[in-house]
Order: sequence, then C-alpha cells, then structure tokens
Amino acid sequence: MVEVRARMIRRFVPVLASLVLLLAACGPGAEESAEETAGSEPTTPATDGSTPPSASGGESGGGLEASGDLFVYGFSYDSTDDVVARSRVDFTAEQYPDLSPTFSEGGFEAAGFLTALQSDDPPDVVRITRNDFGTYVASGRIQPLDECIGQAGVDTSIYREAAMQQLTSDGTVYGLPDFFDTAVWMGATSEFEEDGVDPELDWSDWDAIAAANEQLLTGQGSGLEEIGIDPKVSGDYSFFSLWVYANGGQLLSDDGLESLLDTPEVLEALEFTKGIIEAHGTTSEFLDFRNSVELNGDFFGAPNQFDLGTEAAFPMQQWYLNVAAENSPDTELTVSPFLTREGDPITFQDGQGWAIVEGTDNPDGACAFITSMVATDAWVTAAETRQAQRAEEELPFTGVYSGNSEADEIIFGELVDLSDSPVFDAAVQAVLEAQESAYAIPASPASEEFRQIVVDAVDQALTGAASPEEALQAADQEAQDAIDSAAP
Amino acid sequence: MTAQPAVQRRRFRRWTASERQVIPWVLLFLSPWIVGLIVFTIIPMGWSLWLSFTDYDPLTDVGNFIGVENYIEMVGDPRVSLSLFNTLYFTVLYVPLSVALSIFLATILNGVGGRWAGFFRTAFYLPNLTPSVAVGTLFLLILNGQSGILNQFVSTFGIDGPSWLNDPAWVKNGIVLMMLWSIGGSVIILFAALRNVPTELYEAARIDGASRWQQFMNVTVPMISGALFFIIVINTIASLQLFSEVYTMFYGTQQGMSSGSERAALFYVIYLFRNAFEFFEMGYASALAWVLFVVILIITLIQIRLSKRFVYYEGE
Repeated sequence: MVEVRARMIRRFVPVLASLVLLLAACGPGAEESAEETAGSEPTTPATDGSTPPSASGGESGGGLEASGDLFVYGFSYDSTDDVVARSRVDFTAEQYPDLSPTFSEGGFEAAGFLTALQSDDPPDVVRITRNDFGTYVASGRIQPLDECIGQAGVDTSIYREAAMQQLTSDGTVYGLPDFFDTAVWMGATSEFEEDGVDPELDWSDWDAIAAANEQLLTGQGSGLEEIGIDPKVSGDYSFFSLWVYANGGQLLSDDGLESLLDTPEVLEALEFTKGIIEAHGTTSEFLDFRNSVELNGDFFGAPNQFDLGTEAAFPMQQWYLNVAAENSPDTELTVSPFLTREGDPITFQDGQGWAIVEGTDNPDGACAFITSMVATDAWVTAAETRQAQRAEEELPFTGVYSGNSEADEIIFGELVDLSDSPVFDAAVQAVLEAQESAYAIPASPASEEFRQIVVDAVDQALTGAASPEEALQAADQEAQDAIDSAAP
Repeated sequence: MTAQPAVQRRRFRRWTASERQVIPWVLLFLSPWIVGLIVFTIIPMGWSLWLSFTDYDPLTDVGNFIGVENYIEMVGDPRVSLSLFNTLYFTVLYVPLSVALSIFLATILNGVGGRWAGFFRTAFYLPNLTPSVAVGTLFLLILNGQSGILNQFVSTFGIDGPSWLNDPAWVKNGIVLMMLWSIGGSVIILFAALRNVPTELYEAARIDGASRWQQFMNVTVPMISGALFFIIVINTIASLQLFSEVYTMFYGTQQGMSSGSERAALFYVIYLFRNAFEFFEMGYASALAWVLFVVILIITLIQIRLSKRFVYYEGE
C-alpha cells in the first residue's frame, strides 16, 4: 500500500508541478509582466515634482471634486518637450491636486488603444483624432459628456463650431476639441515675383490657378526643377476634401451615412487637381521630385523647399508656419485663405478630441481632467509658456490655435505680437480669417475605411490606373458598402 | 517483405515499465514549451478560427455567429483579390531571385579564405540585423525615382530608372529589390551546406572531365538540395507574410510626403492587419488569416511533395 502511494506520488508530482506552471503562466502576474515588457503600462508624470495648490477645481476646472488615479491614452507628458502639452497638464495638476493622471506616452494609435481597452487597467480618458471620432462613438466605447459638461459648468459655445460638430452625434456631445488646425495657401513670394505671377493670386479662379501653375513650374518630367503648385491631393484625404468643398461638393452626406463620391463636384475637383499635377509630368515623376529630400529639401527641416526655391505654393495646415518660422525665418511667404470658387474662404479643420472611456471607474476625475485641459486658462497658460520659449530662442511666436475661441481671442489679441515680423503677421491674419470658415467632414461609422477608399480612388486616377470617373464610381460603391457594414 | 512487420512492431511497441515511470518527468521538463504552445499558439488559433465565423468587433466586444459569411464576402472583396495578386506577384519574383542570389553569394563566400572570410560572412549577414522599419525608411531614400542612388547608379549605364515608389507598375519590383538586401540568413545557411559537400566528389567529377558548371549542377546542387529546399519553403512563407517593411514605406509616411501607390503595395497581411486593427473587423480579419494559413499549407505541402523527387538527404 505504501509502495503504491509512493508510486502515485512519483507520478503525480510532476503532473501537479506542470499544472502549477500552467496556472502561473496564465495568472494575472504573468499578464502584468507581459504588459510591462510591451511597454504598454502608463508612466507617472512628474508634474514638476511640486505639490499644486490645495484648491480643488477653480475657475477653469469648473469646481469638480476630483481625485484618484486616471489613465490617459493618446497623450504624452514625460516623453515630450512640447510645452503646450506639458503646461496644460501642469495647470490641471494645480487645479486638481488630488488627481493622479498617468499617460500612455504616445499619440493615439488604434491597435494600442484596443489592447489597452482589453487590459486590467483600461484607459479612463482618451485623446482621439477628430476625424476618427465617429467610429468610436458608433462602437459605444466613449461616453456622452452631457453629465460631465453640466457638472463642470462648461459653456460649449466657446469651442469652435466645426470642431464640436465632429464631436457630436445625434445631438449628444461625446468630446471636447483639442487644437484647431486649418489649411491656407502658402506661397514663396520671391518665386511668384520672379515668374511674373502676382503673389496675391485669386485662389478662387481655377483657371488662374492652372495658368499660374504653368508659369511657376520649371522643367518637366524627370527634368523637373521646381514645382509650381502642389494641390496636396495625392494620399491626402483632408486636402482632397478641401478642393471638393471649394467646388461646392461634399464627400459624405451630413449624417455621414451616404457616400457622395460619385458626384460632379467631386469629379471636377479630381480632374482639376490631376491636371495641375500632370502639368509637371507624370504623377510618379511629380511625387519622386516632391518627396526627394535631396532635390526638394527637408519639408520639416532646413534647407526646405522654400530655401531651395523648388516649390512655389501649396495649401498646408497653419502649424507649418511654426516650422517655417523656425527653419526659414527669412523666407518671405504669402499666406492666403483657401477660397471657394465663389470667392469665400474655406478650410477643413482637424485636431484631436478629448473623450471619457465608457466604463471608467473614475468618471469625476476624467471629467475634471478633460474639461481642465481645454479650459480657457489652460490654453492661455500654455500660450504664455510657448511665447516665453520662443522669445528665448529669438523666434517669432505665431500663436496656438486651440479650438477654444475664447482662448484664441486672448492669445491672438494679447499675446501674439508680430509687429517685427510683418510676413508672419499677415500669415496669422490669413489663418484667423480662414478659421471662421472651417467645415467639418461628417463623422462616419466607417471613418478610416472611408478615408482609405477615397485616397485609393484619388491615387488610381492620378497614376492613370483608372479614369477619374471610373475610380470615383467604383470608390462610391465600395464606400457605401463599408458605411452600411459599419453603421450601428 | 520481412522488414515491414519489424518496422511496424517497433513503431507500436508498448512502453516498458521504466519508460512509463519517466513519462511524468518528461512532461514536466517539456511543460514550459507545452504551456507556451497551448497558451500562445493553439488557443489563439482556435479562438481566431471561431472569430472567423463571427462578425466580432473588438471595439464593441460584440460578435454574432454568421457562419461562413466572412469567407463568402472575401470572394467578392476586390481588395482581397488585389492583395492576393500583389502578394503572389512578389512571392513568384522574390523567392527564385533570393535563392539564386543566395547560392551565388554563398559560393563566393565559400571561395574566400584567410582572415577576410569572417569579415565577409559578417558583412553579408549584417543587413539581417537591421530593424525592418529602418530598412523600409532607408529604401525610401534608395528607391526614389529622381534622386535615389539606385537610379543614379543605373543612369551611369544610360538607363532612365523607373519610379520605384510612385509608379504602381514598378512598386512591387522595388519591394523585391529591398527584400533582396536582407538575404544574409539564406546565404549563411547555404554557405554552411556548401562547406559540408565532400571535396572528394569534386575531385571525382574533375577526373571524369566535368566542367565547373557540370560540377555545380551535378555535385553542388544535389548535395545542398536539403538546405535549398529549406530556404525555398521559409522564403515562400515569409513572402506570403510580408508586412513590416512595406507598411513602413507606404502606410506610415509622414504628412505631406505620401506615396501615390498604396494600392500597388497592398499586401495580404497588410490588408489583414488593417481590417483587424484599423477597421475593427476582427471576424473578417480572422477569416483572412485562416485563408492565408490554408494557402501557405497547400503551397508547403506541394513543395514537400516535390522535394521527395528533387531533394537528397545524406542520411537516407
């Protein structure tokens, strides 16, 4: 009997040990260590290491009682030197000293967010690109902000209307806007003057644009030496939408549920921009030249295309003025609003939106955090910090475009002083003018898929794989299928 | 006739008592691997098979059983056929080229002696140590149609190089060139196989009057056919699963620098990834993954079948 028991023990000890190993591998400890290895655990911000004032809430925060841990996804603090980001977190820490936010330390990334949602410690707050908001609203992963807005006493009318449209679904607000990027025409004044083209071109006249393009470009095909006008439509959904809206069209219906790709306005915009590109040679030759650092300079550095005189004009988001101010402070730029064919300013707008993740265990903290990050005082504090930094670097301060019109009024009315830089002063005025005419691309439940379909159709037409008409017809059908499939 | 039952007897022989006693210990020592296999391979595979029959959306965490609808949808999805075409085009071009170039480089390596031997072996393998994202970024510069060093090089022969990155007709060929840069692993495997070819065989062939080419075809190739077969299988599977470099080059470019050829670079796994993590159609992505699994399985089985006719293993 004793021998039998000993034999059983000899047999089953290894089996039990195997079981223990299995359980250990599957247990929560194992998951934690895997997450740590993957770097998906948030880090704790060192908010200057100081203890913020004891007051909870405050004017900008709306007087909420907020405390506890808060995991913020899609935002960086420790790993960024962006003073606008850091100073707003510091401001929030002062407003809510008992709140302990931690950050994912990186921009929003869909796969990472998905993984974070499935983890033991899902995010409480997320910062998402506004163009993608529709997908997350449709999924029910972010919660309505009505209660939060009421509790915090937030006046949503101070936020720019186009941005709020993207964050609102069926009359319910799901997010608060963070930044407001708009597009304007940027032209190298000297290139225009050298080629006998008026820098104050009538950008509403497409015939004039085509003619100016012909005059401004130098060389052709593989011998291209200077781009006249880059319409920026290849691979870029937002800029293509800009041409369509300027032509009186839309890509999606207002409710985001109907594709409008197969409409005359869209077709005309595609044919026109294709013509602008093909005046330089084939689309491939045009893109090879444009994307070559050696030939066309470093778009985000120096020397850039303006320094080298290899590109005369293109539409671009206003933040590029900061890049230009830093890398080419002596370049004379003529900045003008993008115009509809009727002559009215128009621009797309993009940026991010703050949202509270559905099921958060700290809704008060989440509400306090997001309302504080976009509060007027937070933006003004951030702008002051940026202004001081730019002054130290002896560079012009071209402002911060917050999405909060109250904050913008203070920033551009009191802080931005470009009297020493008339070129940038004029540029900022053009941007401010354009901001008032921003449209919002309607939120679609298939936002990313729709974007890809549009980009593919444009590229097919540009590269000659299909005629513009064929490309848009096929894309329209595919887009409608995608929307129908994703609609809740 | 008598050997066959003996083999069968050996195969189905009962374990002895002492062998049975050590089985639990064998299992214990194998358990880390077994646990890993179950937790990280078998369970996820089974889960993804189940998901492929659902419309599971990872954002909503809701999925309904929809039978084979995902598989039916694949048949009518133009992007599936496009990505399959792109992937097969790449595989058909890349695998033979990579094998031929690997044999060529391994033969050169085999002929290099002295202290340079180690240097060249390291140099040939170094590209494999470069992160795939860095390779993708590097080749954005090398393959630029106007200023890339590849076209600058061919222009010295009077050839006007194509637009490798922006002309849809040339994009996949450019990707083949990029991937050929990282064949160091295949070269090292073939080099090791070449080192094991007995020199007496070459001597005998020379005595029989065989030319260098005849020696290569009738001695070298048969003797390294096992390694060649391994490389062909591995490279075929890797080609069908191509992702990181292409995703970096064509789907991760910074604003204002986008390519006009995302469709030409839409490989099967890229489309799978985008469905799963960008369009949140995890059920459909799982179906795509299982179809790829079956395609790879069939191709590999065909290769194994053919290998019985063409591959020589010394021990057999």
